[in-house]
Amino acid sequence: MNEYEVENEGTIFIVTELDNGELLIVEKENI
Amino acid sequence: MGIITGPDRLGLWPNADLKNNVDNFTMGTWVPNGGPGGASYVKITGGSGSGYLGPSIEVDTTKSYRQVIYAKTFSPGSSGNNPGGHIGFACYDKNNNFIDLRNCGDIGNTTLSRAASTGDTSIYLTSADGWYQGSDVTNHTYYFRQILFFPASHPDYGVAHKYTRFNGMRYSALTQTASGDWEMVLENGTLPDYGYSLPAGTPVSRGAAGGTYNYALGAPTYPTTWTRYQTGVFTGENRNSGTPFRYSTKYVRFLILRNYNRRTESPQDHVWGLSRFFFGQVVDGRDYGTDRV
Repeated sequence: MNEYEVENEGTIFIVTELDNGELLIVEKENI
Repeated sequence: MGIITGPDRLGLWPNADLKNNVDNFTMGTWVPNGGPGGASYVKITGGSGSGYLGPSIEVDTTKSYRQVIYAKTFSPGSSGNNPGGHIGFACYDKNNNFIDLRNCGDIGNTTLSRAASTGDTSIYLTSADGWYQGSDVTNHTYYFRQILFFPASHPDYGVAHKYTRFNGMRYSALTQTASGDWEMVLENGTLPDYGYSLPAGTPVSRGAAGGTYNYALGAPTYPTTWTRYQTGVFTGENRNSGTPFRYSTKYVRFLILRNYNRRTESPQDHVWGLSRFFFGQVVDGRDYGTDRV
């Protein structure tokens, strides 16, 4: 499992790459 | 049935009969009373941010719905912080496939300017609006530059710029040609055989990741008293991570990211509860007040 932040067009997302290859993404503003 | 009062056509989460412990919301311990209004509830410790998806219910996206849940902190973590995390639902199509934002159009809506064929290394677009442009766009993470095809002859993916699962290709470059249209260089192989023709005029959108689920109830940190969270009354479909439904939704599942707000804290000894899991159809203006849910 690997977590990092990525910016796209003004929105910062927190991305967790799960062990099964799927992405769990939330907007950082929601935290 | 999780709630035994209120208007009809409740559309309740199945297996959520906390009253009779027909629970199967297997994320915690069922407690028969002590919830809001004396109701039963599920008591949970920690969670580490992990996702949980409940059972599925069928929905009609032309109807109106509201989602409700109650949450409470029983004791904060050793950190002193109360638990909390995202709550909402997940959307699935008629075949029970999860609908990701990268299955939904609305970004970079355009069409093929030239017919595309299996084995092509480039495709050609009418417009580049809403797409990353240049001879090398790989500085943008791959999941923001996927290519969605909506072949008109497909029975499920043929509505322009709405819903498709033909989204596996991504691009590395997009530059304007001498003819005025735009050449898109495919990054991860040649164009596969989708089984449906892709003539000029085929709708295309950019597939871009975003909030994985519909976090319709937000990402609250739970107070130490039972607190009600509810959506507005919503209906219809679009590309979103809140409400309403995503394109082509036929089923939804309850969704929570358990203690996501405190996922980095250790130990995960925050104790919290959820009660009155509810997702219901608003019929004839009859809503779900606090006297009912």
